[in-house]
Amino acid sequence: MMVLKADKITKIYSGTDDASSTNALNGVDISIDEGEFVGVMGPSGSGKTTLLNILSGLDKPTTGTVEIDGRQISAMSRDELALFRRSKMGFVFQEFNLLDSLTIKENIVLPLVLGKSAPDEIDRAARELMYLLDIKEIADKYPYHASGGQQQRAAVGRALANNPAVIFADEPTGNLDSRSSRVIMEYFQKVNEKKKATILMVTHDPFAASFCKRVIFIKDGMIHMEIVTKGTRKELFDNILDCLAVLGGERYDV
Amino acid sequence: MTYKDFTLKNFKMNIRRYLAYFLCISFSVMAFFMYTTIMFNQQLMNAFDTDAGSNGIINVSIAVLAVFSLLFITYGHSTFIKSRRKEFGLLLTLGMSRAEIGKIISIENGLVGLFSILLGLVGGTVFSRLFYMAFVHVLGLQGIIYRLDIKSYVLTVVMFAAVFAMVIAVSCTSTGRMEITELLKNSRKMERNRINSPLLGLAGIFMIVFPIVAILKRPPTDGSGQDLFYLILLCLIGLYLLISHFGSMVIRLVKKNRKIYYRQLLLTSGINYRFNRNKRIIYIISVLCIATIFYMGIFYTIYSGALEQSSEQHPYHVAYVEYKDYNRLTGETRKELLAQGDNPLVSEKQAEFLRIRFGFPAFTYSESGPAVDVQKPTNTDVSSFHEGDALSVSQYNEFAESKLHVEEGHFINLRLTAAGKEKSSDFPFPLVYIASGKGVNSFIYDKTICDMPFNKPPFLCESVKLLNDSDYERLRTESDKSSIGTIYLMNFKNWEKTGSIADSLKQALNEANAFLDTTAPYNKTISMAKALEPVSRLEYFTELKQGAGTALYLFGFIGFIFFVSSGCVLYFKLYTELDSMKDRFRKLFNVGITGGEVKKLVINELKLVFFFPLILGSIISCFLIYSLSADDSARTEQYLAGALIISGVYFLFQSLYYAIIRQKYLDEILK
Repeated sequence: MMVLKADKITKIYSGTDDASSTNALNGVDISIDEGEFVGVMGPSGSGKTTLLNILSGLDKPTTGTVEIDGRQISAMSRDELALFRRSKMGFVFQEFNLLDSLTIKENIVLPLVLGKSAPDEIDRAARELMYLLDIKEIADKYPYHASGGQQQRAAVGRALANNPAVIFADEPTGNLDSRSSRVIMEYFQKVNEKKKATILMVTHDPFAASFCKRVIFIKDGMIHMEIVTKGTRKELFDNILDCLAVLGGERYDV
Repeated sequence: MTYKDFTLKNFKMNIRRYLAYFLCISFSVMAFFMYTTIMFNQQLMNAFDTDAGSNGIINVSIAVLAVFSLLFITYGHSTFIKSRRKEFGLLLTLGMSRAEIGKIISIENGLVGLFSILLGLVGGTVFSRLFYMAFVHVLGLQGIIYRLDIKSYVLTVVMFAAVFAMVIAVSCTSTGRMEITELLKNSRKMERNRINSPLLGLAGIFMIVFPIVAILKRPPTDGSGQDLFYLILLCLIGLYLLISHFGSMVIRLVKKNRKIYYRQLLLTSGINYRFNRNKRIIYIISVLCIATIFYMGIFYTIYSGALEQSSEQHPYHVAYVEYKDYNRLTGETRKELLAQGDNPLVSEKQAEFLRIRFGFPAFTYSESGPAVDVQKPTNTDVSSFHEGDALSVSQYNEFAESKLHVEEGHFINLRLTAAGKEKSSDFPFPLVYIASGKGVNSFIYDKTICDMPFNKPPFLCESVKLLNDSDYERLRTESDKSSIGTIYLMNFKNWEKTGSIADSLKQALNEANAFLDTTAPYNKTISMAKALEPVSRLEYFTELKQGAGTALYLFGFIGFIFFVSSGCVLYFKLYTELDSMKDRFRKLFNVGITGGEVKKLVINELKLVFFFPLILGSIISCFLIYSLSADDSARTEQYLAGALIISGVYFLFQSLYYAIIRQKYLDEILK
């Protein structure tokens, strides 16, 4: 079943002066099925984050349509979108974006709290997610008392809390060391496999991308190529490096 | 880009932060300046001097204001610097020297200081004039001229220049001492209490309630004021505890009900966050609010109740005492005097009193109080007796329209003060001895009552002994004829026009006493001449109203300054926290929060910050006024009503301010 479908997305940032305007996206088509784990890669300035923002409704496309779970989000108002995000989407950001005034547990259940779920349901979800992500012991701590990896796991928990149709992750390992990166990616994998969560992740880290099932490469605002995993993660990782070499801009050989 | 360009550019970039900082300092300069215009208004201070002790209040409030300005500027400055630490850290890593950073700080803040002092002085000059005109008009004060003194300007400039120099020096050295890593570190940590316990909040509530109850239950004779000071101090400490632990109290309370807990999660956590971060601010505002409502409530009550109090204290329009040869007017002079013009005498009454000499029994203190053997009169040495006055109970009943009864050999202690709570503890002796021409008689004490059946000219003692008619008659015949005195009580058509009558009466009485020596002291405080003066309701009323009006003006002024200052603090705090609030709502926006929900949340938090100190402050000051006025006045309810009215006015002002800020703040947040 198709969860997300984007059709001919373009995004033009018009310049303030008569200076040139920038075409961030030049007609991108993407469709993602339920349970997929898709990575989006590309060099800096290729439009990765713009694409993610548009697909998740944080930003509006200049032309084109985005459909999530059968609903056109590009036609929604700000508040409609907010409610839709709350019930159908989950977010994980590079900077974790946890609220400092809430404990880890409270941060995780925030979407449910906003959605006015029943207390029992909230508690059950909190227990389950904290168990899944191994953050039970820091449930009542505040974000600044937790390590980066723990904070990011809490953010993953928050993204999962409302059983979203799709989870958007924007450089989730960008602020983490390699060990924490591996841990968080393993959790993403676990979430994808166990909870059948659909995930769209933007990253420039080939190691993180190697956990995906499908990787889309974009360059200059267009989809350049796409690879699907066939064998082991190591093979995918090598594949990704090859693709990046073709795309240029980033080299990973020593 | 030169160094100068850089500084200028910096300034431009930080203009919003600077603006809040700048405006707040200007306001506190203005407030201080306005206050000094009062302080240097000799006329106003002289008018105030008559009211004993109120000069102390003025000195205390100028000290409060100075300390407040100092705290406020250092606080504002440190918040401001803190918000820019990261920038300084970055500049240091790029190779700027600490001396250059210090130069940036000094130049920027020097400019801000200079301009804010200028703006404050201009604003203060304009506003103090306006404020003065408004108040004088409303209160109908006369004879007080508004003037600006050069001393006000000098004092304000000197004081703020000093504060600025100090603050700049401190922040230069503190920034200079900080490590770059410390400067760069993001200060997102929540300011938390070291010990965070709802129990401490409860202790705070107890510390607020206990002094209020203690003052209420305090024995009336204990008027030293020392205990009062400690009790109020305790109350203020309790307030701080309550405010700093309010957040955790709310959370503990809300967590009991999971449904409410989750429903209000953002609000309660926001409250906790704000109260932890802003506890000092909220505390300062609460204290300012208590002070304002307390003082203004008291003087407003006196001012508005002047008429009632005058007729209570002076049931008759004009009164004077005739005793021995003093104040003896001939019938013709009296007639001529009282039949003046368009304000004729309506009624005249005379009350007779007996000047007596009385003494107390010798007594020994035991655990149960002073012990006296009633059967055995002791200490009947007449030379140690005091002077006092006695009235027959029927005479009293006639004036008070009551049916009091005193048995033979007994007496009632009548205190000539406005009716209040009657206290048995007022009179510590079971009996008194009253001397007559034929010896000493003992009278058994029944009770004490407080009443003003007629005006009390200064000649009359405050405590009068009410005796059974036959006892009184016996004392009267046994005593010297000259110890009988008469109080003349007169009512005119219009008491408000008795000014000239009272004046000419005073003059006539002076003439009548011309051949008598009236320069001797009558008692510890007044001379004989003063004791014999007539009293009038109008005179009392005018004095009361003028005095209270001046005080009300002064405290209205101070209250206004306090209000403006607390408004500044709030404004400044809100705007320095704007970025972190924006960040919070950006995160919430990503999770999926609607504009309406953000608005509701912001408004609820804002309401709390604006009105919590006010509500807390007015409750505390109302209770303080209530319990302080409980023991010596029957007008407790009026004082309470006065405090409530002032609270209401304060509330109104705050609501207006809130309405203005709310819109601006919401616009900023939702941008």
